[in-house]
Amino acid sequence: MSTKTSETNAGSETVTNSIGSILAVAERYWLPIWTVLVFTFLYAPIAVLILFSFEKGTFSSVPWDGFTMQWYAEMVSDTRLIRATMNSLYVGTVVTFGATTLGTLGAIALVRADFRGKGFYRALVVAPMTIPGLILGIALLLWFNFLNINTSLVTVMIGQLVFVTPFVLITVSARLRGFDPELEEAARDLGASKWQTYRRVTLPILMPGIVSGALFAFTLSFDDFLIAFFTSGVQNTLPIYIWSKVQHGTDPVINAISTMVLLFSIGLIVASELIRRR
Amino acid sequence: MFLELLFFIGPLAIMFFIATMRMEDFALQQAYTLENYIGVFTGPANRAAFINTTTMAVLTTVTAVIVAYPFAYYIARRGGEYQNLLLILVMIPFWTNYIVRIYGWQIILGSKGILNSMLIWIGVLNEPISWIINTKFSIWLGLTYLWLPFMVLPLYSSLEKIDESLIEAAYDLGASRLAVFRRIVLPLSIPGLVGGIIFVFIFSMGAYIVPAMIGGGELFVGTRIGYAFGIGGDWPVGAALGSVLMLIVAGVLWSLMGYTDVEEMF
Repeated sequence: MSTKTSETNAGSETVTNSIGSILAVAERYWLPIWTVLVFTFLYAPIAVLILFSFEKGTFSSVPWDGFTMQWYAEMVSDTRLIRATMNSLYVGTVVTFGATTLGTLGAIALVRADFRGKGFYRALVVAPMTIPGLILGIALLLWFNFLNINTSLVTVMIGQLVFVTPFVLITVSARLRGFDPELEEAARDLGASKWQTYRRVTLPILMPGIVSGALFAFTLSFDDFLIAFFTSGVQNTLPIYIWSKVQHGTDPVINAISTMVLLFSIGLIVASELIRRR
Repeated sequence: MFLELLFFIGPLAIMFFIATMRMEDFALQQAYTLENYIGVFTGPANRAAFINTTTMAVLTTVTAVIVAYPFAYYIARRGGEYQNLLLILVMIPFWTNYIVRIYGWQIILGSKGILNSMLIWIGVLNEPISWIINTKFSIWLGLTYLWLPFMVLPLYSSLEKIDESLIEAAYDLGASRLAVFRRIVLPLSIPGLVGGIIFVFIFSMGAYIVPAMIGGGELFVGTRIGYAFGIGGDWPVGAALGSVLMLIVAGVLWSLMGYTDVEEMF
């Protein structure tokens, strides 16, 4: 180094220094930058749908052609869409009630009681969560066909119940494991009956878990496509309707519908998280 | 419990059974044969579909690990007061309808879509890029996109549990950053990592929406099953494909389940 002329030495030093400082900045900030990039990736299609649901042109493309509410007006007057939405709300409500009841009872049994075959029961409970919806969908279709049950919204409800219940069960049992059984014992010592203890102590403490589990269940049912697709027969739910529309190519009305579905789901999940973290 | 037996085990059992039957004129025949199972492995289209699907699932899983790890690490260890907010931001795409989100990609990637029209508009391109949709690339992108939160959330929950004092102690003892990562952070995040791998791999194997919507005509197990139950009208063939898929899924679950606790993840 010292044998070189001072001029070149100074020049290469600046270059080395600036590369060095870029690397130093990169090393310091690559994690937050990476995080921002991943968030951009996660939200790109969502942002695009919302943005282009207000665009005048029938092709969702750049440059922007102007603002319109036309697609929302078309959406509101689509009777088949409204019927599919009502079906989804109906199925979602029934599944939510069923899954919340079964999931809560199951959680209490799993965490509090000791019985033979608990391990097996546990595995059975978790299994539907890890099986691809496609397999569950076709298996249920074959099963209903085998039992000579005509597919309808009722079979959709049964099918969804199978895979939604485990999610509720796990949400509630997490809450259940978090609280001290001594609280229940204290209530019993103070003369509360078994039922009173459940109603006045156990249930209120579990409530946030149950409510967030219920919202979870509703979202899962409302978004489910594969089980409904194979077991709904001729009746449509909202995802099936969207699917059939998407099959006929791109259409700005789908952007408007998608935006509404997104906002609805976002509202539910935010509510669920707020309740769960309380 | 009873419900699970009746509507979970029952359907799966019947799927394996129906796969041994034959279908003629849209009716199942009582002719039991292993033909359909054999066809899964010998039929060129089925074999190609299984090879494609497995390759894409492995590729997607690897990509998801690479993308999700630093992301989950940042949220879990550096998120500070914004940790909960960032976590909800991860959950939102996780629980919003996936048909809708893949449709979003369809209008971004399409030949007249947003990406192409924007690049042409600002003068970077003259012709639309065609390989970004209806190819293996778009399946890979779509699957990675869709299942990424299933990798992030389990990783987050195990990274968040790591005790900061362990990391500090390692630094005090003179460990480099790489050493701290390799010897402390990585081993302690294994349960989350395995959980994420299970979810992403299994869901990619069983994917239907992504290959059907933005996968063009690429041979994929999910779309072949969908076809067998739809226009193809051959339930036993579809059931056989589903059964083999189910066995792969169960095998992966069985071999990896010991390293993780699925219940702890949500």
